[in-house]
Amino acid sequence: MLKYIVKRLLWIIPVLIGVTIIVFTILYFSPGDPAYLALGDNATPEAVEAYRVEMGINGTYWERLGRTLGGLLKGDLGLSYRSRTPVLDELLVRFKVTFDISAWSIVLGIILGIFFGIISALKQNTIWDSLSTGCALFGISMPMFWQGLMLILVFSVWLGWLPPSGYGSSWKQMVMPVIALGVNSSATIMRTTRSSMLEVMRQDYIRTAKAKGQTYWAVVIHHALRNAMIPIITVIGLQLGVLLAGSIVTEVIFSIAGVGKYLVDSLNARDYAAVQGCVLLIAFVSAILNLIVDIIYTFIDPRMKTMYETSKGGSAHSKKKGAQKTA
Amino acid sequence: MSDKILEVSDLQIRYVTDEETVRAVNGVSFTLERGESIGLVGETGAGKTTTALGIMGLVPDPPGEIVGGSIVFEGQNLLTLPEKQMREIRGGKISMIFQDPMTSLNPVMTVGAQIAEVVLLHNKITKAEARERAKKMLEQVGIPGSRCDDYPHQFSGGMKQRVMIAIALACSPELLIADEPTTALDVTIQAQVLELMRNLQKEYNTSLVLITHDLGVVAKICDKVAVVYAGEIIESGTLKDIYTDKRHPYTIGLFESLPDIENDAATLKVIQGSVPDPSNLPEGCKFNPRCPYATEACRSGDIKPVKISDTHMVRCNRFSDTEV
Amino acid sequence: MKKKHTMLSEIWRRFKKNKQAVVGLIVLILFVLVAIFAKQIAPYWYDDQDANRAMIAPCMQYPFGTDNLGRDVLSRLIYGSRYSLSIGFLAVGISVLTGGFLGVIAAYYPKLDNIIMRCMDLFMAIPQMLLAMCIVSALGSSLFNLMLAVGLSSTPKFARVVRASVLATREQEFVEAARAIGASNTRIILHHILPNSISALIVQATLAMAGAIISASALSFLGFGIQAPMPEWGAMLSAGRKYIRTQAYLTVIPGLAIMAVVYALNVVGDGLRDCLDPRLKK
Repeated sequence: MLKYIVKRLLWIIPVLIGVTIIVFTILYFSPGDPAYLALGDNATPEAVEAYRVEMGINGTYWERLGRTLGGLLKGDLGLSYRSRTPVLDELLVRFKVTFDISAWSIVLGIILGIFFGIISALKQNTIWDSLSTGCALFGISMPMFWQGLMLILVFSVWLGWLPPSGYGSSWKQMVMPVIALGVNSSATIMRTTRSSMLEVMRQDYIRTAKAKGQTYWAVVIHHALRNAMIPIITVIGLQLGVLLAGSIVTEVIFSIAGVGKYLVDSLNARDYAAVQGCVLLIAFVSAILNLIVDIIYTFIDPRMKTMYETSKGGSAHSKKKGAQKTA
Repeated sequence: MSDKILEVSDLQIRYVTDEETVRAVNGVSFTLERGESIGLVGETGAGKTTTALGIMGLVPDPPGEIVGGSIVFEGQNLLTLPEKQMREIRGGKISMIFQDPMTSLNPVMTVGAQIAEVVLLHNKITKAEARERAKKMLEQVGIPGSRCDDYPHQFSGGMKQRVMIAIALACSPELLIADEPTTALDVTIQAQVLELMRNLQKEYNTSLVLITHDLGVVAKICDKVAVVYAGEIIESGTLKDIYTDKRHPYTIGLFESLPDIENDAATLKVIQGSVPDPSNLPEGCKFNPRCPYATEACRSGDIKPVKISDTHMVRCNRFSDTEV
Repeated sequence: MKKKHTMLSEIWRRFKKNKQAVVGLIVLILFVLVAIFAKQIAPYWYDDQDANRAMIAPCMQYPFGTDNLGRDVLSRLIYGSRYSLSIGFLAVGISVLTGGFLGVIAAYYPKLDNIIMRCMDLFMAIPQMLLAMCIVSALGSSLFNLMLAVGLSSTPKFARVVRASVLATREQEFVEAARAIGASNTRIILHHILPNSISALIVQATLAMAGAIISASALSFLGFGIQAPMPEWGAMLSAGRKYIRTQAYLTVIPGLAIMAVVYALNVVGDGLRDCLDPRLKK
């Protein structure tokens, strides 16, 4: 088991290298010269070259790529074109903000999603089911940015209860962003929970549990839910990725100084070093989160544990993907 | 002065969906004495499993409905019992073994926990004691007690079925219902599991309802036999009655279709036609479209059960003509 | 020929039972019609500016009001449907073609399987939206680039789905039978495997269209997509955001339009999934 974790952690390194190459290449072909953007159109060739050397963006494609990768292996993400400060520092400051909001959002999503998913499954085809599934459908159909704007409209503009922007000075500033992100996640989680529970409740071992004389709720929680959790955990893992992307838009709307907003601002300002750093950070965090999700699997499904111990990481992966299909 | 443990009378169960109504069980009646075993024999879809689920109170409620009859167990009509009392009986006094061991065990719980669960539900003992009991049950069914912390996927099909038997017998039930317990297993394993069941039955003096389509299995274990067709018992009696003095044309057909090792026949004898659609059953005797002895009288009206002897019943107009 | 007809009508019969899905389908058809006949339906052209009638709240003459440049919001919404629907359709088309191609190749030629799937894993390590943003940044803001970006960022997911579906079908016996009578690989892929994988693909594609429309409007909202004065719904939302305190309708209405199309797509996709369920297939 430990061997598996170490193998996964080591595997992150080539992934990050690959991601760097991809992003670097895409951005390399972007229009706009950072040197002239920073120094102005009338900059002298010497000043331009000096800037390029300082930023590490002189030379051919291969030289620059090599330098970038070398820096990556040392933990150096380069300097931001705009502020000329290390990208890594800028990111770490902002990461805490994004992390806080995302963490609360996923917790909200899980609680709401699983609760309503179970209710919906148990009361299939009743009014509770129709209401919940209907709401969930609305939830996933609403663009997250519009959701955020509507929340601002209602709670800031009309009711004046909550501040429309900013972060850090009051807990009230977190309410709307967390709701916007959390509700969206909860809709997907709810749908998966519902279909998974429906599938599990039909299984033979549920009938066996009832035949033992077990009570209804014990059957639901102790037998059904534990088995239903497997695809649900998969979806929660996927939602973490969606959340990271969703926080981009949310941070822009609520003017929150997190990684997402930094990314957008950097792209607009053509600060490609910063963009690269953001993407790498996000990819890294995603990979770690996926690993944590896979480890959680082993506590829920003993069959996974056996698979991991025989170090067939690939087949565990495909079992997860199979579970995804029910989502 | 009989010690009747189970009396099923005129049980009727159907499944109602938007499209159709399936009449699964149409007036099944049989009795069972303490310590006796009865084999419910018939083809797939005859209504045997539904009858068993009816006794356990596990007929899935939409779409299934019990629309008539009674099931009297130790003097109480199970169909009128409140759910709480039914739960006490399930697993404790009446247990069931299901057909497919591969899917009947919860994959995320250890086998020991699953056995201990049923013990804890019906006995006021500690968790540690329940675990000990679970280990003992495993030993009884021929599995080392040390494996009680293993998961179902770590066992073969035959061993999984043994675990199911352990769960079913853990609380020493009065009545055990076994629904095709060996159908999903290899022939060699079948013999072992049947042997196990017979020994445990004798040891605990458990009454047994054995559901199967295998006449050979019935011969090995059962005292009485009831032949089920289209939701009805069309013939019932002791083992001897059915095996040596079968009267109903369907029963005769069943036995004749068994390959005979001494017979050099080139083709197997089959019963003509096929099992009727339970949502669209024929009028009169339900077997009449396929019956070589059928007459006009067989095509309409209710065929009443006739007692050929104290133990032997048959539902057929022509029973005297089928005597060998 | 007769068998195919009854299978299609069987699917339609099952689909019809799901009333929500049927409503969704009608809504979709309406939107498509609006998009096609935009010129005929819209009372004004989408960039018909007139400072004198700026910022008028919804009323009889302007059912959805006018924006800060005096343009009729209803007309912009109608023309905007063209963008959203075409992006949804074409982006997913791109995903299906590229992802599908890669998926089939990976499933059928094990030597290439590993490389292709590792590459897909790499791309999937970057969240879709980020990838799309970078692509648009690199290529420049335009309708086509937006479609390309959204489409390409979904390719890995489709590659994975198609590969899984093809692998599953390939193991089935009728493929072996086909091979046993000497059918070539291409023929097997086109005539046997694809038709069986198609139902899963259609469901995924419908749901992916919903996602593509949301992604595209999100990208436009952030300024990475369509340039003004194109009436893309996300861009309209972005422009209206400034005036949320006073002219809330500028943000509420385009959002409702997006939601309506996406909801319809989701409902139809769900309905298709339920009625194409292979367990119900004869």
